[in-house]
Amino acid sequence: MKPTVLVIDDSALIRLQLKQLFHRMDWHVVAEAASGDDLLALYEAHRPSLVTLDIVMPGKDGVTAATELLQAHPEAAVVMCTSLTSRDKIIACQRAGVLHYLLKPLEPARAEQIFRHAVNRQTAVAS
Amino acid sequence: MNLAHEHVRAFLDDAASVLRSMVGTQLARRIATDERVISILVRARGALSGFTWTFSPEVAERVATHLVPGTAPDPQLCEAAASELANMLTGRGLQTLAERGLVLEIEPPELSRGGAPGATYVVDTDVGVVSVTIHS
Repeated sequence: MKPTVLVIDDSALIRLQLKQLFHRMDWHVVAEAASGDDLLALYEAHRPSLVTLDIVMPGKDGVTAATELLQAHPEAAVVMCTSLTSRDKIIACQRAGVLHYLLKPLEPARAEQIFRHAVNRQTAVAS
Repeated sequence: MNLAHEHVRAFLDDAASVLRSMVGTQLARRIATDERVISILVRARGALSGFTWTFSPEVAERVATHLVPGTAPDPQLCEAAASELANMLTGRGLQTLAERGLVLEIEPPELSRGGAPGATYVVDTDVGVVSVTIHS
């Protein structure tokens, strides 16, 4: 079965870039959103293999959304895709249980490697 | 507050590394006068109140096709590309500024309707001009 992905980013262009990347990986993007506001509901509706999450977005920011998601669903595989280099944000994401922190602009080969690692790791933990 | 020259230089060094990887760049000494430019405001809270980045449409198109190869960038996609580039350029330098005592939280980029006073710095790329106005 194909891995499934939930993409959360306020940039339509980045969502397009990620969908193109996941299409090449033969993964299925089940839903996308431009804010962290609906992350929990979308996760519970789709139970994706992977969540990619931006940090600076209108409404609920990515760190808050990731923290809430991982408190409710510690099994979720979350990778941040962000432009922020701020150390406090990176530490906050680590504390929340985020698996990886990818800096934009995304380098496709590296991003693919990270996404596969995140899903493989969560699959191994679950089994 | 006026931002010290060495802080600006360090911030722009980070921005230049992003531009170099995406569109190719060299430093320039001129200011864009192209009326077609796309200006993006990234509001900030903390030591500064924001950054306005200005891009030529050619830069935005190059970024759009870099991020999504094979795409035919329309004006809407170019605005999205400019917004995302402004986000990347600002975000990349935040830790550098924080290490120099300038701690900021930034907000999502928005199309700028212009006007706020600030100091403007210019970077020339192989395909057009990028400038940033730092609002004190």
